Amino acid sequence: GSVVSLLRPVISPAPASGRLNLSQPVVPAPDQIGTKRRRLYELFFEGPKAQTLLLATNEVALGFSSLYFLTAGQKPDGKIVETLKDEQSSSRDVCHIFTVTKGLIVCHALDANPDLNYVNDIGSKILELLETEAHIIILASDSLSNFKTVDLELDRQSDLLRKLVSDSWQESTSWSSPPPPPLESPNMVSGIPAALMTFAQFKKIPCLILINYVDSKTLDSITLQGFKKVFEIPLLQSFSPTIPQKNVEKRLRELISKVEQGNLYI
Amino acid sequence: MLQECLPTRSHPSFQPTVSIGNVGQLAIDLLLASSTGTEKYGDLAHPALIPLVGSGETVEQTWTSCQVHVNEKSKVAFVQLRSDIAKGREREFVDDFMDWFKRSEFGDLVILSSLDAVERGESQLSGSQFRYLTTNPKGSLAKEFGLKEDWLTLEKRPGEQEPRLYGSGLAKQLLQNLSQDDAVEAVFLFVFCTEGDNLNIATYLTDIFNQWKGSIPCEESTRKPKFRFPSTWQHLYGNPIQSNIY
Repeated sequence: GSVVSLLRPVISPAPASGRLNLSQPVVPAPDQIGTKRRRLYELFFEGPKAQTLLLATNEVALGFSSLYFLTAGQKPDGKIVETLKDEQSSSRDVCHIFTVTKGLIVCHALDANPDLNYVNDIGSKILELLETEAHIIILASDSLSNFKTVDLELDRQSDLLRKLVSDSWQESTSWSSPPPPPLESPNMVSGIPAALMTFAQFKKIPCLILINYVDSKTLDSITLQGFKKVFEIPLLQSFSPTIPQKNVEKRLRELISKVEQGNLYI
Repeated sequence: MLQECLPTRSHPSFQPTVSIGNVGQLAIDLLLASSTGTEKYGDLAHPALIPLVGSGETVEQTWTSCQVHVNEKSKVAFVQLRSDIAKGREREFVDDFMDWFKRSEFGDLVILSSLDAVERGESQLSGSQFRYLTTNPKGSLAKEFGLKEDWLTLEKRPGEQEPRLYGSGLAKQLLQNLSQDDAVEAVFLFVFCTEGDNLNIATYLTDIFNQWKGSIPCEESTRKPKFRFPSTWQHLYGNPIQSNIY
C-alpha cells in the first residue's frame, strides 16, 4: 500500500501502473514540528548516524538494553531534550543516545508513558539519528494482562514475544531461526514505537518492533529472556552475549538493586 | 498527470470522526469487514494523528492509525481513523485533510459520527435515533444524494442558529469548514448514543447506511445485511474470564 502525507500537495509523475505515485511524499522538516506547540524537542548528538538503530522503551526493554548492549556505567553520547514553553522554560531529557559501535546506536526512551500528543515530535527527532539506508529495531514490553487472546494456554504463560514489521522489513533474510509470531489482532502498539513504525511505513524504512509481554515489570532472567531473540537477527548477531555468565548475573543483580521496591506489599 | 491516474477520482468517500462511543469508527470497521472487494489502498500520515499500529485482518498486514480502503467495483473509498487527534491540533488536521480530499478529487464526502444522547432535545428522546445533515442548507442536496425520505434532519433547538453537535468530535469542525467551501458536498450521518459498549449502535448505523448505499450484500430471504464482524471487535473489554480460577 501507499502512504500519503496530508501536509502539502504532492505532484509527481504518474507510475506506469496507473496507481497514485507516493514515492516522494512530503514530510515537514523536523524543526517545523512543534514551533507553535507548547513543548519543543531538540536532539543533541554529534556522532556518526546509525545504520541500525535499537530503541528501548519501557522498563524491561531498558534493562535488557543496558545489560546486553552497554558497558557498566556507560554514559550517553547524546540526548533528546524536551523544553516546556512556559515561564520557567523547564527542560528534561526524554531520550538518551549511546553509540555502541560504528553503525549501531542504542536509544533509550526514558519515559515509559510519554504524552501521546507529543510522541510524533519525539519520533521525528529519533529519525534524525538514521542514515539513509538504515534499519530500526524497537524493544517494547507490556503487561501480559494487556495481551488479548482466547487461547487459554497463552493466557497462562509468564511471558510472550510478538513482532510487528514494516512493509520494507525483509523477513526472509532477517532471522537465523524461526521468527517470533506476528502480533495478533486486536492487540496494538502505541507511543513512541507506534510513531516510529508509522514513520517507517511512510518512509519505507525496515522496522521491527519486538513486544515482550511479561507478568511483572521486575527485571529478572524470565522477564528479560524474551528479548534475547533479538540476537538471532543477523544485523545484531555480532553483539551476541559474550560476557561470562557470572558477570551477567552480577550486573543483573546490580540493575535490580537500583529499582526502588517498597515493603508495603510483599 | 497525477490526478488522471487517481483510481479514487469521483469516488464518494466515507469516513468516521472520533466521536462519543466511537460509533463512526466501529461502523467503518464493520463496513470494511463486511463489504466484499474492498482492499487497503494506503496509509495516511499526519503529525497531529496520535500514532497506533497493529495487525490487520491478516497478520501479514501492519496497519497504522489512518488508512484508505477502496472498492473498485462499487467505486467507493473508505477512510478509517483509528486514533484521536493531538490536543489543540484539530483545526490543523481538518484543514490538511480537506486540502488532501480536494486534491485527490474524491466525489462526495460522507461522515459517520455520533452525538451525545444526554444532549437530546425533547423531540429526540423517542423514535429513530438517527439524524443527518448536509452542507447544502436548502436541503436540495438531499435529493442529489438520494437520501431516504424518512430520514430526519438534525433539529435545531428553539432560538439557536445551528444544531448542537455535542460529542461529534471533528464533525463540527468539518461542518464549519465545508459550510464555507462550495467545492465539496458532504453528508453527515449521526446516531445518538452514550459512552460504553456501542457495537449494537454501530451495527444500527451501518444498517441504515447500507439501506442507502448497498455496500454490504444482503440475505435473499430476509434482506438483512450479511455482517462479518471484524477481528478488532474481539476482546474490547479484555480476555474472557478463565474458568479454572473457580
